[in-house]
Formats: sequence, structure tokens, C-alpha cells
Amino acid sequence: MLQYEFFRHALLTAVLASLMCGIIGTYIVARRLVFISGGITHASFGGIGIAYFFGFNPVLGAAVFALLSAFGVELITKKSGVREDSAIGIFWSFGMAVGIIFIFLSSGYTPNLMSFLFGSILTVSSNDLLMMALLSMAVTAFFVIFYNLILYISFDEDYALTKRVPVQLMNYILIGLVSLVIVLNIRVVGVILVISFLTLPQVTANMLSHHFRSIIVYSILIALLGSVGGLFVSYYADLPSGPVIICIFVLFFLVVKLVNRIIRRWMIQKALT
Amino acid sequence: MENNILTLNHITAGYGAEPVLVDVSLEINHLDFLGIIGPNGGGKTTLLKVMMGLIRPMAGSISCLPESAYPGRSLFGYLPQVNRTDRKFPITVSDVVLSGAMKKNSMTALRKRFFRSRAEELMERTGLTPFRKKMVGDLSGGQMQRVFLARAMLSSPLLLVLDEPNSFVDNTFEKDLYDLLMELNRETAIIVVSHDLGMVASYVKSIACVNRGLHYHPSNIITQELLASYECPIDLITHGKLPHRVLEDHK
Repeated sequence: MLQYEFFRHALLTAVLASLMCGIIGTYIVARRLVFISGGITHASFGGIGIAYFFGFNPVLGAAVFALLSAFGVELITKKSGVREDSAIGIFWSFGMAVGIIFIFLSSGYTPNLMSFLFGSILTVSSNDLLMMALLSMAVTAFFVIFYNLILYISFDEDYALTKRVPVQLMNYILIGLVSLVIVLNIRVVGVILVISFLTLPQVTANMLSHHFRSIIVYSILIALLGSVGGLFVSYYADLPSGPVIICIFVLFFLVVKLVNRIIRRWMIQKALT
Repeated sequence: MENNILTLNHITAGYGAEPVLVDVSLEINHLDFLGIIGPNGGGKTTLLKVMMGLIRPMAGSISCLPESAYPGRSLFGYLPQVNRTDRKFPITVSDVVLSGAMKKNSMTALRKRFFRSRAEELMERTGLTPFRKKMVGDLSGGQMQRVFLARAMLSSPLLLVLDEPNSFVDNTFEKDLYDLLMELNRETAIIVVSHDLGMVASYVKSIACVNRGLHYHPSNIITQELLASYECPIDLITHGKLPHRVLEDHK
């Protein structure tokens, strides 16, 4: 099946998605940003709806909505004292509502709507691939250059502030990167499932290591294994690829959890005897 | 070097619209060793945060030494209260200690190597070497506090700011901790916040009572009557043996 261009594209997409989600997802999980990431994901649906209605590129619409909601949550939380999770809830539901209204207004013709909700890794264009490649490079470079600073700020923001490092600027750049990674990966697994790419491999990796750098590397490998494996399974079983990939992620999670537990039991037994 | 490190002028600060500290002035000089006491919610931590620029004051001003006045050192070394750190965060003990050297601009390889070896030295000093590869959240409260102390010391700060450093520390390390602070005080000014007055008082050179306002007391000998006149509702009765030279008799 590798002779098909669409399948080669899909494989390359899986590689790029694993790379950037492995990195950004480790940041998200370590800093407990899963909920805001979910909010950004769903809010971006509003941009997709508007893009459909006015006939421009949905990725662009999604990107604008994702960034606005990411900074909007930050702004509302800081300025008006609304608690952060409540602010996320507002953007989450408002974005979805806007999206659904505009798609409803688009006179019933919504060919790829399902692909935005559930992803369609098999219809990724070379243009999409190029954007994903660029973003992957940007994310990788940023994390390589600023690795220590990102780690230290994430662990203890107050301490970083006493050292006069530009904490707020770094936070904005990072949440911006989170937004862009989410938007480009909506193509792969869809609005509903994108958060799994950003959490499941990382949580599994976190059971294997407590070292930030190793978690990034393991997450990338786990995501790669799961997404490429999922592609093959979905091809042969004729199932939608996104959900299959996620089921494989969950399977990995459960297997590692089980093995972890068995090893721990065994070590306790050994320590006792 | 100029003697004054940091000056707070008529600071009012708090969260939201509610001021916790009102019209507080304080001067920190080189090699000061200041103990800050006061009731819970009296504004001790807020005072530290305002001092280090973590929260912006509602009124008043803060002046501190310019960076050019202390080449190779940092202004603050901060030891926060342990209970507000995320214990699940994936970071090792040695990485936390090393984070004490973070700076805006990137460091040369030579500086990096210097901080690496200094971090090893500090971990040895604080008895953390066996845990260096462990996740920081897996440590006990006392061990974690030592990690934060080593982190605070890494950049050779002019001013070491310790928020309740003895709240988790086990008895064996407590004496070590204060001996270490005495030694550090030869080249570093120290501010230590504590609710355990007895322990702190025998080491500090001066005391400040913080309860909305601030009363500065230029010695470590303080009486219950004096505290009352400072409107500082703190009981001098403490557990264990009290160092006699510190607290005058109180009936």
C-alpha cells in the first residue's frame, strides 16, 4: 500500500504529529494544561465554522480562534478575576456554538465537516504536510534552545520571576505553540480526539521515566508506534484511523500500567524476603 | 559596595482589592539577618513577594541595587514554602538545584561547568547527594526544603529569602540548617520568616513583626510586652528548650 501517495502522506503526517505532540504534550501534561488544551481545541471549531461559511481555509480560521481563546483565557483570568477553569468553560462552549451555527448557515453543504470532528489522516495534502513540517521544526528548535528555561519556569514560576527571567513572554510563546500544534493536528485525529495525542503517550511515558527530557523522547516513540500501527490496523480492518490510533494509545497505557504494577509487586516481594 | 541592598517605601500590597499590608517601610542592608514573625494571614509571605517583585504593590515604591553592583551574584535566593509545589512534576533533585542559576541570557560553557560543580558541592553540604537522580516530589518535606535551600544558594545571592524554612525540617537537620545560615551570613544578607519564634530568635540580628503593618526591632531580644505594643499577637511560649539570651522572662 506504500505505492499510494495518500498512504505515504499519512505515514509522514503520523511522524510529524508524533514529533510535535510528543514535545508539546509533555509540556501540557507536566504543567497540568490538559483542560485548557481541551478548551483551545473546541474553541477552534468556531473558526472552522466561520471559515466554511465565508469560504476560506479552515486551518486559518481554527488558528485564529485557538490563539484568541488561549490568550482570552489568560486575560480574563488575570484581569477580571474569573477562575481559570470557568474561563476555559466559556471559550470551550462558545467556540463550539459559533462553529455549529455557521456550519448550519452554510446551506447544508459541509463535505469535510466529519473530517474536522473525527480527523482524516488519509486526505492530508502536501500543503498541510508542509505546514506541519515547519511547525514541527519550530517547536523542536524552541524546546532545544530553551529547554532549561522551559523546565524551570514550568516547575516553579515564582522562582523564575525572582530571577528576572521573562516568564510571561515565555508563557505566551508556549501557549501559542500549544494552540498551533492543536490546530494543525485537528486534521489528523479531529477536534474530538486531538487531546489524546497530547496526553496519552505522555502519561504512558511518565510511567517509564520521571525525567522531563526522557518523557519527551518516550512520548514521541509511543505516539509514533501507536499512530503508524493504527494506520495499518485501520487500513486492513477498514476502520476510521483516528479512533483506532487512540484505542492503541489506551492499550499501550494499560499494558505499561499493568507491567509497572507487576514489577513493583515483584520488587516489594524481593525487598521483603 | 554600597551598604543598602533593598528599600521598601510606604508599601501597600495585597490580592484583588483587599490590602494585606498597609504602609510598610523596610530597609535591608548587607549582612543583615532579619527574622520576620507575625500571625497567620498577617502578610509575611506577601511582604516577601512584594520585595522580590512577584506581586506589584498597590502603593509605594521599592528600590534595589542595580545589577552592575553585584557581578557574578544574583540579588535574590528564594526558598518558598514547600507545600505549594507540584509534587507530581517530572523534575529531578539535581535539576531543581541547578535551576537556581537560571538567567535571561544564555551561559557560557565555563559558567555552566562552574554551576554544575557548585550544585554538586551544595547537594553534598545539604546531604542530598544520594537523592540527586530522584524525582523531587518523591522526597519528604524536609528533604525537599533542603533541595530548595541548595537551589537558593546556587547563585550566591546577596539576599537569601527563606519562607518558613523550618516547617518540615527534621530535628537533626534543623541545627545544621541554622549553622549553615550563620555561615552564609558572613557574605549574604538573610531574611527568614517563621512562626516558630524560639528557634529563629537565637540566630537573627533583628526582628520585624508583620501584622498588616510592620514594626522593626533592631535586636533579637524581645519581650511579650513589646510584642503587644507592636500589635503582634504572637505567643512567646514555644516548645522545647529556649535559648535564654534571646527572650526575656515573661510571666
